[in-house]
Amino acid sequence: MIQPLPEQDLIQGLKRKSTEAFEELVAGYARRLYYVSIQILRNPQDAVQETFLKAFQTIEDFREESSLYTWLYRIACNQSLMKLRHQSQHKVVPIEPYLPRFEQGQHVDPILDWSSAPDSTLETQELTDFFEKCIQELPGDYRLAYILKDVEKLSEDHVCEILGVTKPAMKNRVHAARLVIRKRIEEHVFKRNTSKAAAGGPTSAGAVGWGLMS
Amino acid sequence: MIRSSRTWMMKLMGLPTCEEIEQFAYSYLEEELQLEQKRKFERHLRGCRNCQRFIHTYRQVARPERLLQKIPLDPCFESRVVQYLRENH
Repeated sequence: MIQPLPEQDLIQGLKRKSTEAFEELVAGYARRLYYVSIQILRNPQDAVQETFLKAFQTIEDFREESSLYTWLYRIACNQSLMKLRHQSQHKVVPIEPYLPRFEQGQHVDPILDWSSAPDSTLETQELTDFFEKCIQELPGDYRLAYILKDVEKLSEDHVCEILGVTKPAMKNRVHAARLVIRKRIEEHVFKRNTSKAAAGGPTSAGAVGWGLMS
Repeated sequence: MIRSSRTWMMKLMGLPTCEEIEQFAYSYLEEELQLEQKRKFERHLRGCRNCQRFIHTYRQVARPERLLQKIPLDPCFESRVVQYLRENH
């Protein structure tokens, strides 16, 4: 079995435009970049291909101040976001309406616990689809921070490096993204259960539970 | 009135308010709270169903494995990327 090149050797090979080095770069990173890009775009294949092309064209500019992976991630995120902006039907939801509201330190709106499992495979699929829609409709900065931190499970330092922001700024974005997604799913599940109840069907008992004044 | 008295009670007991629970939710999940802060945070949770529901669902979003789809990837994806690079550089 052929051992992968150490990163420094790989970078030198890329700078010499070695075909083997580029094939190794693709073999090592294509899948990881595909999975991060698919959270931004529904069909990320072009964005991933263009990421490698851009890496190939600009490798001389890579100053090795970050890891190769971080550099590639940054290119992949930018390529995916650029493509997303060109999709005219792309919708972005504002953050503000989905942030929790408080009065004298307490929740104004009751909280619905949708965290228990949905009743059926169909409901699970529907929730999964809606969750992806929520991610894709976040404003770009929030979406990237959330994807890198919570979906890709990168360390806080690594996320800050890719986004080029301070740790408090990164945490604020991730927190706000979580709040928006949480609230949107809550509203979605509430609407679904309300229409099911109106149609006389059973609602997912575990998923309905309004916390009024506790 | 009920709201303000509950907040007042929480304050009197040295516990965070619901608003502070939301503000510290990130630090709580990331295990960044000091031991005493964490203890107070959890005492509030034990007495507040709204915040329990909030944290349960906030955690689901922060740890979204259950909500993510398993996306199959074409086994030839890497070779197609290499082919694209050969044709375009």
